[in-house]
Amino acid sequence: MRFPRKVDREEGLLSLDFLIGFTIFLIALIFVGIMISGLLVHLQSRTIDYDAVAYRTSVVLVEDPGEPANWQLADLKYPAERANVKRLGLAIQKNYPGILLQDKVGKFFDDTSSTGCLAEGTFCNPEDYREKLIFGDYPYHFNISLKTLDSSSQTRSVGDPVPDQSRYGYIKRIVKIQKPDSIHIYNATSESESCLKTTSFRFNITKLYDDVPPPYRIDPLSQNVSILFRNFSQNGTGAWPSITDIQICTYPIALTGGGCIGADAYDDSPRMIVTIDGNKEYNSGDPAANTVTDYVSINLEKGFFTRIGYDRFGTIDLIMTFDQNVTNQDYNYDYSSSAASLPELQSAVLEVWVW
Amino acid sequence: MVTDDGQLYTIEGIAAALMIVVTAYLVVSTTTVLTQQDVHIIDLQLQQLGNDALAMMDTPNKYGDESNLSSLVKGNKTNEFHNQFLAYLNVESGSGMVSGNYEYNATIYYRNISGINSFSFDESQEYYRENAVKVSRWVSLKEFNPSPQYIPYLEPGNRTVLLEVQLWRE
Repeated sequence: MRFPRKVDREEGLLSLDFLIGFTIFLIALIFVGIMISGLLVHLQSRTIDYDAVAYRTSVVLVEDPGEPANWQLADLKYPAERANVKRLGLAIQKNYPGILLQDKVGKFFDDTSSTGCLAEGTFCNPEDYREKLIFGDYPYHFNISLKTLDSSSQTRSVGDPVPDQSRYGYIKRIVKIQKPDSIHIYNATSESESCLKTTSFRFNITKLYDDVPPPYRIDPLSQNVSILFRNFSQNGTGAWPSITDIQICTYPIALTGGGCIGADAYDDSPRMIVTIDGNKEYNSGDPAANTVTDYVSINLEKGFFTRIGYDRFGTIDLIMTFDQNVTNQDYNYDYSSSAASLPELQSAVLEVWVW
Repeated sequence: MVTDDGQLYTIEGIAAALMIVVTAYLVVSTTTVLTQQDVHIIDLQLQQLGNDALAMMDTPNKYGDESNLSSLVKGNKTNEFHNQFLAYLNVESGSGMVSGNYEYNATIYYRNISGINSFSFDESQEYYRENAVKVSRWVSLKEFNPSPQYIPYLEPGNRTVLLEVQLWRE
């Protein structure tokens, strides 16, 4: 009860109960504030997460050879081979980040279905790319594009078109692509200079691997092998030479358990294709049809040597036998064997968008 | 005479001080967390791009050739360095909108008999206080034979120098 003219000593003071209650309330508020700020950080990280996923994807593409490292040899027609591809890295080796293998680039961008999993022999789009490259449970949309710095080249893309407005994660990587060596050319000799009916083309894989670092290496184990044997001539009776046998042999037999197989050992890819004069395929069962008047083209599809069990420690001979003398030497498939252009690198830009 | 006057004033003061300190801490810590992470990602992209560009300039296209970067540094070819470096940074595949407009300055660090020295190699624009990253690469200079003004007091012969590039977006 208030009395007039009497000084109230408790005016303007807060009660101790109020102060304790208010302090507890503030402490609770501070805790809630801290927790909410933590929640906001996670919400904010939606955009940050896209950048991180784009970066991670680029690292797998550019710095990793994939799993298995020679996945580009997989025949995607077979589900087991497709399933065996675990990771789609494009690098030639993990020790050479930024150097991409042309065959991997080709398979990655070209062997893809337009959508879904309907086309045979291609990667499912986008399922395989999400599962073997992007990773994560969230169904990310993506666009991966590559263009060589050669101004005339086309952009190669996989994924959806990049949206104009929405937020996306992005990263750009500068890379080089290894172009494999071109066709290797060897010349036959005239009959007067020839003393051999049988000649061989030797692949010393160990030497090819040891002499040169991977970015510039001729690699018959994982790339196409193309040989052009040309400049055949008639003998003294006017007859053109005819191929009687073609064998591929590996040495030393004692170590590798090697041996020989014929040119037509396989009907399906990867196999050996021998074309005579550009218009007829070699037929071991019909020697009369194997007459050569101009040149013989031999193509070993990439993965052929691996298919028949030859590895980097082997020496392999491709042996051709004719019915008359055609040359005076054996040949080496190596860095100085012919006018072939050796492997070169070409600059390119790789961009990844994820949203 | 002893009374309880004044005790409540002390508790009020302590409570108010506590509130101010905790609130200030809360505000500062919350703001800092968000800002740092955003900047970090942008730095990472720029740093990766700069590292890639230097690495690819230092990778020859043919086996046995001298790399572009080595040739440019050895010959003090700053114009060509400018063109090639910016060409790598600005190149696009054309599939989406990308921001560019990069600036840089490049410094060479080297060791000679007097110790570690630096030499300003090239710059596209003067650096003030932009948000920049630094990328670097060891460059091998075979049979280096410089003019007296270029990389002063680095002895001729096979040398290795550190090229450091400060890189930022305009």
